[in-house]
Amino acid sequence: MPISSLKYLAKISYNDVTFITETVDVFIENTPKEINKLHIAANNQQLEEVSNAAHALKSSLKVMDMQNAYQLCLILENEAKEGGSINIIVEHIELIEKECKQAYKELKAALNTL
Amino acid sequence: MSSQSRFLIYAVEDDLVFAKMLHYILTLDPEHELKMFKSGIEMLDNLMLNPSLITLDYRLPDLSGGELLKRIRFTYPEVPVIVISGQEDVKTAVNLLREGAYDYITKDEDIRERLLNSISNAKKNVMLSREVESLREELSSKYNFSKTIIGTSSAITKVFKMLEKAVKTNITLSITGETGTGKEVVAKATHFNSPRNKYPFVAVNIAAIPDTLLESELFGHEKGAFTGAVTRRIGKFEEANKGTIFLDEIGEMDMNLQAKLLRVLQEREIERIGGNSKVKLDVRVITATHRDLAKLVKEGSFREDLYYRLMGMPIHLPPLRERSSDIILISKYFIESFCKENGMPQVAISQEAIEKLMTYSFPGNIRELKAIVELAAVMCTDYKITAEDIRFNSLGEEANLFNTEKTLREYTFDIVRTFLKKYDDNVMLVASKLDIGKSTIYRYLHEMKGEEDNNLI
Repeated sequence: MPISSLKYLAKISYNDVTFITETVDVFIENTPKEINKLHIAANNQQLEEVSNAAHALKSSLKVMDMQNAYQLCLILENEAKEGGSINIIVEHIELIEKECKQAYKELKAALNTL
Repeated sequence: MSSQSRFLIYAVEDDLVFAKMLHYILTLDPEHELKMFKSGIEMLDNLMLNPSLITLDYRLPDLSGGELLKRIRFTYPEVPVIVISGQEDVKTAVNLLREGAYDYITKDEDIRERLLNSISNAKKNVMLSREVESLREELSSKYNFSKTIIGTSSAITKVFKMLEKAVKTNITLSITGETGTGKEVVAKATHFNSPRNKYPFVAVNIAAIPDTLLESELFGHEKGAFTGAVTRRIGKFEEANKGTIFLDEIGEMDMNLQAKLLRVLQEREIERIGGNSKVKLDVRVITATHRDLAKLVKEGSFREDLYYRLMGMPIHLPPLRERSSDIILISKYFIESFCKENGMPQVAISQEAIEKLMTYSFPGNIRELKAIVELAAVMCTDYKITAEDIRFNSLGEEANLFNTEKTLREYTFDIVRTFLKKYDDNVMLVASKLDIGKSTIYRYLHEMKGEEDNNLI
């Protein structure tokens, strides 16, 4: 089962291939950096930073139609905001990272079909 | 696109992917000029560039959308702010809208339509506000004192100085002057040069409304208050709230209504006819009359208490014959405006035509002068008004020196007084015009003063 799609971007842009391609490129280039920020903040137990970084990442996941990762990110944001367990937080970051890595492959493949 | 029609949008979004998407949506309209910011502080630092609209991500790394909204509203309350949020949260949305957000939009798949619709509506509002502001400025400029009160004579300079003081306060003005001296123009100029100029100027001609209708016209009525009152109607006082009401021909007001007007002016509130509740008012009152109110008070046809309540700052507009030196300036102004309004080449006026105008008494005052020079501008040939183009069509009798029998000494004084008024108290000029010595004029003035003092005793 694919965990991402270009549905959202296609709807927003009425299938504007250039826009879709450029936006996916930004996502693939930028998301690893955002996830890295999450790891660093979690390692340093800076929960407010974790919450902010999760919030910032959330919109991107929605745009790439990553429903599951989006929900995980939402939980992560709230968990960090409320000072939750660091183990659970790290676990959530890893799950999000895993989903993102899969999404990069899926989205690249989807771009080839446009 | 001209800088006037540009629609500058500021978008604050820290997520690069979503920012890319916002950029795409917001630049679909070529009229939009977009500036993107990653943080709230960065956007606040650029607010002085006066954006037409702002979109905010609800949660930003430095400031919350709510806090940012407050700061924008504090400095630029007229700029519409659209808050874009990741989640649908009715409570947050209601709070933000209450704080003054223009719209609240979630980052869903239909964001393109919702955002563009919202911007389109905001744009219409912004354009309307700009149009209103520009019309307001045009109106203020039209009623600028330098354009409405023309002249350099001492009589009009005195009026001008009083009005400059009047506009700084809410003092009631009572304007007197013969018909055609420009009482309503002065009332409008006072309003449009005062801090009340963003609110209505409402003029009511008391003489033009039958006594039986005037109360309802001024104070309004409730539905069913009297036969024919089929709907509720607000009166002129309510219409003028926060602005200015101009009561022209106040001397014609019926005594019963005078009592009601006095109460309204004292209480600063009105009660509509047939109503039970009172409506608070903040209205500046300007009155005008061509009649001598003090005389009406003595005759018992105008209430003394209302007379004092309305007096405020009395402004007397001199008749044109007492400011003959202004006739040239005013004529040229009217000719220039008339040509401009009618798309005509500028028309000049000959020295002979000016001299002819200067010898006339203008019983209809500025209104009559305007009619005369406008007609002359139309009738003249080769875009130059000559003495033949100036035609006087006064309805009333011209002031005649011999209407009443006087002594030779009284006639002499009348002649000297008339010439002094006409030539703005310029003794040298009057002496030259009358072909007598200036010391003779000073002697007459001395004697006239002595007689006036004796009359006072």
